[in-house]
Amino acid sequence: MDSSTLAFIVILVVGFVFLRWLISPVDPLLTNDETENIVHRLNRSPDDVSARRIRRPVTDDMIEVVRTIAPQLTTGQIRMDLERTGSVELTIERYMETGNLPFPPGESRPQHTDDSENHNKPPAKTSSINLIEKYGLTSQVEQEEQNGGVDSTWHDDKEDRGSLLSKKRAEMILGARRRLASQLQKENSA
Amino acid sequence: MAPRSTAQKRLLKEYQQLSKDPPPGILAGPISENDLFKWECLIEGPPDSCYENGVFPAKLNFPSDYPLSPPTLTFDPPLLHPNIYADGTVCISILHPPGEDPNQYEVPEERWSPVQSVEKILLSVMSMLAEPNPESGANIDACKVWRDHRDEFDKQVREHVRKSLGL
Repeated sequence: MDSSTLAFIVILVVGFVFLRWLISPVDPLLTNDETENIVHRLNRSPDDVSARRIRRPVTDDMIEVVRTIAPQLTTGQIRMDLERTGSVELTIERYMETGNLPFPPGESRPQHTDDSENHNKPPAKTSSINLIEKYGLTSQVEQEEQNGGVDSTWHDDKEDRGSLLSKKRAEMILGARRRLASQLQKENSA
Repeated sequence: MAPRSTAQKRLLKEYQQLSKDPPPGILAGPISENDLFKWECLIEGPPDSCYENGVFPAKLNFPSDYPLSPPTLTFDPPLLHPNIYADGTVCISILHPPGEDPNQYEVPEERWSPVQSVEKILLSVMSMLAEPNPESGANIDACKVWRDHRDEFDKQVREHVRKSLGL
């Protein structure tokens, strides 16, 4: 056997061992320092290494990602499957294959309640029909039209924004009241 | 200040846009900026309809996963309209959750999706006031009056408008 063949075999063996060492799991018994050391040498973030071996806890972000793709699934369904797979990709793949995910025990398909039955009862409590009273504009009713124009500034302070909004609200209601009043007057005189 | 969620950031942005460039006849904003998920809006009745000259207050309630899920819009006090339930809740396709309609009635593009906005909802509501859709009626009684006794329907709405403005 000539030396170049020998060198080739040696390189193969060393390369194989090195690769095995590179992709081998991190020994959980290593101390944090050692882990960090290895991680550093592999030039990877600790998350990458641990994510592959240790299941990530299910976060709300993961659930939100799955829900963007599968809006009809319930949070319970998504959470259970994420806990099982530990990965958004796997859960989405499962959903794509089956079109649905199993329900967690104790939870079933949300009942589609009949909206018309729920909503067609008159509400228990409604605010006053009179907008002048509702927004406390009684004192402003008799005032002449203000030439405010549309103020479309955006204040940096939220108090200012709130007061501008309620000012615009008052203008809108009083403007409508003036229009209606003049229309009623016309109808009466006609 | 606590870090804002996606929903809060988006709501604040929409509020800013609506304040800077408000569509005519529409006013909307959070009741208090401490809770960006509850809005109050005023919608003017469209001209040449029986809602003309009226101003109608409505409450918008946003879910915590907005804009993935649509908000609900409730007129307070309730308004007589074929597409508004007796408790004031508005029933139009843009407020329905995304996906296919189980009844195959609405196309997915009409339903809620994160590309819609508060402004689009309120503009849809305004056109709903101008042109009720009796085919997907919500308030059956209002539907009947609207279809069979339009004069009576118009009269009731005008009465509501007059009372609401204290005239």
